[in-house]
Amino acid sequence: MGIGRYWRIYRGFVSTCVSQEMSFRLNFLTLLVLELVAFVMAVAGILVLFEHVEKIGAWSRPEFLFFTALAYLIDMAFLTFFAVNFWEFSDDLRTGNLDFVLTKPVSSLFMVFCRRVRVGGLVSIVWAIGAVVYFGTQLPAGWTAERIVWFTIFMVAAMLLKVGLEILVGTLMFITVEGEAINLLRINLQAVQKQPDFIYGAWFQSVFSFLYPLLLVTSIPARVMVDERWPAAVVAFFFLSILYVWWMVRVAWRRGLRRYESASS
Amino acid sequence: MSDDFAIECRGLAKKFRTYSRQEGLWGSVRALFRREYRDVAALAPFDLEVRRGEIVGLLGANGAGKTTCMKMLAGIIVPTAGEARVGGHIPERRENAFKRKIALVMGQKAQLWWDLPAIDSYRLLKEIYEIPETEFRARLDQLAGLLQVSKLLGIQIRRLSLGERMKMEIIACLLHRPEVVLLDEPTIGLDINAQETIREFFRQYQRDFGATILLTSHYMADVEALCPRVVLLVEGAKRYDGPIRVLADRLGHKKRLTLRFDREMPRGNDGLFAGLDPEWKSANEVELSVPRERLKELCARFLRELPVQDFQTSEVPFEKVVGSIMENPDLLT
Amino acid sequence: MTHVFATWWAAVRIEIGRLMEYRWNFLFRMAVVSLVPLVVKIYLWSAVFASTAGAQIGGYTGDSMLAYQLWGAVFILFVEVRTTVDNVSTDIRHGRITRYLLFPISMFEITTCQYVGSLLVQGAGALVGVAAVLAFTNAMPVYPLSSNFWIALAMVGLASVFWYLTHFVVGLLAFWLEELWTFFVLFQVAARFLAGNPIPIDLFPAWFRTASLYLPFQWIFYAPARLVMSPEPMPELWQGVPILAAWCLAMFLVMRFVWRRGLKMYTAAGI
Repeated sequence: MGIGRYWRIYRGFVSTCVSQEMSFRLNFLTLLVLELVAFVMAVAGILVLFEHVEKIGAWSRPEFLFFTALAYLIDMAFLTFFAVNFWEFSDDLRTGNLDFVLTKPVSSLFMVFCRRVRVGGLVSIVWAIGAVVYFGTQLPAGWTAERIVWFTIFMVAAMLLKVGLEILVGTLMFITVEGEAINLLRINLQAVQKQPDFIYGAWFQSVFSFLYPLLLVTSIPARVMVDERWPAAVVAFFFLSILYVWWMVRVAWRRGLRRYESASS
Repeated sequence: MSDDFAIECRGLAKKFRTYSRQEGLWGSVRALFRREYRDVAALAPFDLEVRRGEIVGLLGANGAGKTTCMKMLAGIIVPTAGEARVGGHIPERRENAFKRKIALVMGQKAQLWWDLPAIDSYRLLKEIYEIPETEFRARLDQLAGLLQVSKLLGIQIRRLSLGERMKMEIIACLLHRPEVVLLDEPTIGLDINAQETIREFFRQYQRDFGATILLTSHYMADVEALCPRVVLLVEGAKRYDGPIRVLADRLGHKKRLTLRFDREMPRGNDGLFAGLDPEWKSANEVELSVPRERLKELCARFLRELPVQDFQTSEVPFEKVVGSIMENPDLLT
Repeated sequence: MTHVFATWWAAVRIEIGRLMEYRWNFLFRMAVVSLVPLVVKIYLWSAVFASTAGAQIGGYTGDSMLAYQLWGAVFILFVEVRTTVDNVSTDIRHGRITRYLLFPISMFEITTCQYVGSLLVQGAGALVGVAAVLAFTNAMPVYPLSSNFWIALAMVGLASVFWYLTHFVVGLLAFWLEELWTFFVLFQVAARFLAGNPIPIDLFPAWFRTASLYLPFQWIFYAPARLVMSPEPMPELWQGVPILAAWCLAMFLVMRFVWRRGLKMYTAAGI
């Protein structure tokens, strides 16, 4: 009953979002253009860099292009299904409109972070998948059925990790109330995950792999396709990180709700 | 705590932490490094018992603690002290079973999607509250019919008037047929007709479904129309809990006496009205507040000594009673 | 005139007070939000230069690339000021500009004062950062006696004006359009890339470098960063001042035109 009910509620969310988005058609189009321009610029940056160098770390141009496409796909998926909710959460906290969420017999985490879907983003996801496939086929390691299955599993796991990490930062809004800076922090932290982990120094990698495992989000699924093999310990750590992050989310969310004071009316 | 009551509070209290800073640029910079915090008691330890099916008005000036109390009962904020039970549940635990039993209508906030017709939001609520389709349709038809908005369900919320929007918000809150309805200023900003429609609606709703209703409103007409019992909060503390008529009678059993004269009256006659709280409506009409036991004597005297063209007696408006008590809570003792 | 300045200063002070009201927000904005992308860029370039075994890339060494990124990050704080200019569009949509039509002070003046207030706050934070870096490292070479330095400052001032005017004009599109935030973000994303952030314009192909001369963007990040790092005169970059000034004038004229046309459409909905 639980999962079926939440699925029906989510379908209701998507339905209301489709109706709403269709009344802002220009916005719908400009968003698609924006996302495409951002991707083209990221790719252009890689191409320009590799006019001047042969390798960065252990990777050359095909690996970096694949990584960029992968980061773009994760970004688009997050933007489509979750991102808008963080801005609405900030507004709802400040205005006290979170009150209505808290009176509904549904998980408040689900209501806050899944309520809005940017349906137009599905188009960008299709482009992103195309880019991943295109740049993936140019990798030396090549595609096998086994790799693709593992890659898909790791991508889903990576999304779970990313959403948990973003919500964890988002709960800081219970402290700040005015959430614009927290949202800016979240967005800027995303820049960390858009580069491969090996470019960072040792202490930076440690912090963002063990304490706040942001680097695992893109780097681990990328290595599934780029590297010949990956240690079981790394895989186990990756999945344990997801559990750890979501446990932290649960604690932070409950603490945050106890702190919530609504807004004066 | 007992199961006989739909709402029960024992020592329920809430403090908020606020800070003050000096005005001006230097004050802003100082506040960056050091702030002087203080605790403000929004609600002093508060006891309340509301039986199932009762309608109770919660009165008080702005900042008295009414909305804070409502939010604690709805489980939105956590009390600093004391405990509450609503529908048999402890609100701050926010159990889903509790949330299915309550509804919170806030006149100053909206939960419906601004850019969509109400019916779209209702369909979502249907899923959230797991309302079967036939029941959903029946309830929606009934509620929309009672509130006279059936033809507006397909129109975007932002295109509706304030009164129509409020009616849609009310429907949204009642679709799941809650046992306990918390109404926080539901008629604020509405025109007289819309206010009356909503009052009549809640009267009917309570009769038909036996819901327990707790209402806050600054419009005494709401309270007089709906609430046989009122609770008065003054600066976060409960100062009265009892029948509305008894509260009205607390002001020394007074009656309103309106005198209209056949000419403009010089204000020198105010000596005759000393102690009767005269309020001049125009140069030839005055309202007085007269003790009941002196009504006959004073009427006879005014009719004899003054050029009275017409006169009328009525109860002291409830706004005046409450307003007087809020200014001077000692009137209750 | 004194009264006008007093009103402006009051508006500036109120904006400063508003920003400081939410302390954690303010601290996060200044310290963390600016540093994270900078740290990522520094690591990326370190990795790039590590792969070249000490060779230069496009005339940059590892140290000069670091200085370029640091100075660019400082100048961004004086240009990309997040302020209430972002609210121009919501004020128009919700009918709130009606009060400006009744006040003896224009919306442009008020919004500009608010922008100046935010700029002062953000700029003060940037200067604290610069002072810290200069005090403890020599990562940011600077030649305050050179003409390059003062031209760079003038360029940053004009870039700030240009950025503000562009955002204001985009905000005015709310007279016609419902949702505008995508235009803001599109502008910012494109502008940063074209400004040489994170890749200096020198590294791009010749056709790109030529086209960039006439656009306003490279004068926001690339040119001032290059100028301030170099004691030798760079006249090929000095031309950025008149180019940017021309862009500012153009945006100002566009702003006035759009405002007048928009007011004719204004219906004061929402009040």
